Amino acid sequence: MRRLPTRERPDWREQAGRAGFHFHSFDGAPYWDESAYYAFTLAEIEEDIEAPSRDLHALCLAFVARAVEDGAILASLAIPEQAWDAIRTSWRRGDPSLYGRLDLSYGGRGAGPAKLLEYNADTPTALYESAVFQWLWLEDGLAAGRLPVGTDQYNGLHERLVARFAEIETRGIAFACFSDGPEDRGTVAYLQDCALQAGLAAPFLPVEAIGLDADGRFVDEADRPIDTLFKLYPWEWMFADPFGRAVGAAPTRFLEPPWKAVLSNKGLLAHLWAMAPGHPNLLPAFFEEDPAKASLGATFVKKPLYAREGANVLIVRDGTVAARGEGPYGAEGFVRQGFAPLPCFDGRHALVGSWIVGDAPAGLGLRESGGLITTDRARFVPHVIDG
Amino acid sequence: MSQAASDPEAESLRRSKRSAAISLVLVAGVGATAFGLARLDSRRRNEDVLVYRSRDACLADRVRSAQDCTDAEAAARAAYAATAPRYETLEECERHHGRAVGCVPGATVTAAAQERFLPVMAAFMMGRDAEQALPVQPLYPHAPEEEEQHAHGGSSAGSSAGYCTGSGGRVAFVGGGSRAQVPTSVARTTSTTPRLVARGGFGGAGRAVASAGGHGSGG
Repeated sequence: MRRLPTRERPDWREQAGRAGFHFHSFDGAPYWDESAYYAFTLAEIEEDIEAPSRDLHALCLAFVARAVEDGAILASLAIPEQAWDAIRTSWRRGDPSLYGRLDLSYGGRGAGPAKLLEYNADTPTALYESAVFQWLWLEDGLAAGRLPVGTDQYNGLHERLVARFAEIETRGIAFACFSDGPEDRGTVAYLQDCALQAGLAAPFLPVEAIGLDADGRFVDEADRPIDTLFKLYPWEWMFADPFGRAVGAAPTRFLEPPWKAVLSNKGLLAHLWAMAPGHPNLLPAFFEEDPAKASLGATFVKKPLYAREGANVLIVRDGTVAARGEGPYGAEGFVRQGFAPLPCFDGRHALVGSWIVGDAPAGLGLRESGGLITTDRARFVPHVIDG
Repeated sequence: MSQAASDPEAESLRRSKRSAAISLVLVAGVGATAFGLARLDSRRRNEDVLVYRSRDACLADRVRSAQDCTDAEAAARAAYAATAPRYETLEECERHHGRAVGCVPGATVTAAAQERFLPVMAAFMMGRDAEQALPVQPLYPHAPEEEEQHAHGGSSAGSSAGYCTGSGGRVAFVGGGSRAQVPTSVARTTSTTPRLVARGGFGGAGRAVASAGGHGSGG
């Protein structure tokens, strides 16, 4: 794994506009950054990222099977009791999932195995730029001779997403998110595109426009029942909202399904470590209430059970605060996890996002941050396989 | 937009780890604002129906018998009181049915709908002939906000956006004639209980977190 500076394409912003990538910058600063790229060997991709991702996802599914039958586990994850039935039912019925992103600390061969930092199993973003714009960058580079013949990329996301939509039995999927967030809206527009290509009707509706009729069905803006609802709106908020109690009895199916709430929760990290202590791709992790957390000593990361984009994450190194993310999360509790610092290349900290589509690994997206915590200020940097 | 991976010869030397081709039908070119595309279901069958604003309009049209017209209007009125959609607020009702014809307090229609708001019955729908055995249904103006913005004039009540049935089916009816075609599922689905649609029950928790300094829904 190497970081290689390169020349930006002078017209990449125009290309982004043509390709529907409208959130390529954030507050005036680039979010997409092609002034460098990361290069992996095929062995690094297949043996260090792809295979462990398959294994970690399978371990997560085994944990869901255990969690849905155990109220103590669900309670430890701060999932409200009125949601348990919906979660259990969706799992027992085998409701399919669409996608997720495992965030890994990985610095290449010689830096040790990839370590799972968290699983964005419910509402992952950075999807479009991983699946499409990164792919276009590679193809452009090959066509222009900037990248050597034979250069590849770990990125089967687009094909896998279209294929996954085609596998899901539904008459159509309504796609919901907050319509005023460009990144969320862009991610959802891309997923609509994939669903259309799989032959499904794929209308959009703002999350606040979802209706609930007297028969307990979720309906769209024209009051038509929604067969399947994709929501880029996390389950912990769904369950906290007034309609949350109607999820279990509704005939509507969801993407991601309610059982993903068990995974998109930092409490997962403590449970996985308890299930598979010493697993090479796991860091030791404990609930904040667990005295065993003392085994981590004076160097650890404290994470809220529910949070996104690095908010409220606290990194303690040798007894002193090394980094702290601001935010409103943490009321539901915390986990304490062993510290696996992100690898540093040219002063940038790289986070490997390993995509799962359905139940199989599907590709990679890298984000770089100046600090130890990857936040919404991180930049997306493309990658290649060149060896 | 559609592109295929380059260099097939080189790629064949080893199994590629990336998509062979990527096409975007929705996102590219038109931008992320293009949404709401729904594919028409070719298997869907239609029924020929008649839509009238009153018994007199039905009589004047001379398609169905005078007795049929009288019976149909009476059936529609009875069904209206019993099954019209109920809304908790006037705003909510008007958001779906528009302001042109509007909504009324439920108590003015039936005691069973007190403290609710009902759309005005704008028309009724019946089969083109008796042999279709279609149920008579009351119809309401269908004018969700986003469609109303595109509707011109708005003087002819609900005509630009059409009607909907009590169970939410659309009746796309262009003003003027009485004849319309509706999907069989809409023509044959009647509501036996009033439909009460609540809205806004998702989103609050996310807005609260965002206003407290949190980030978007995604991560």
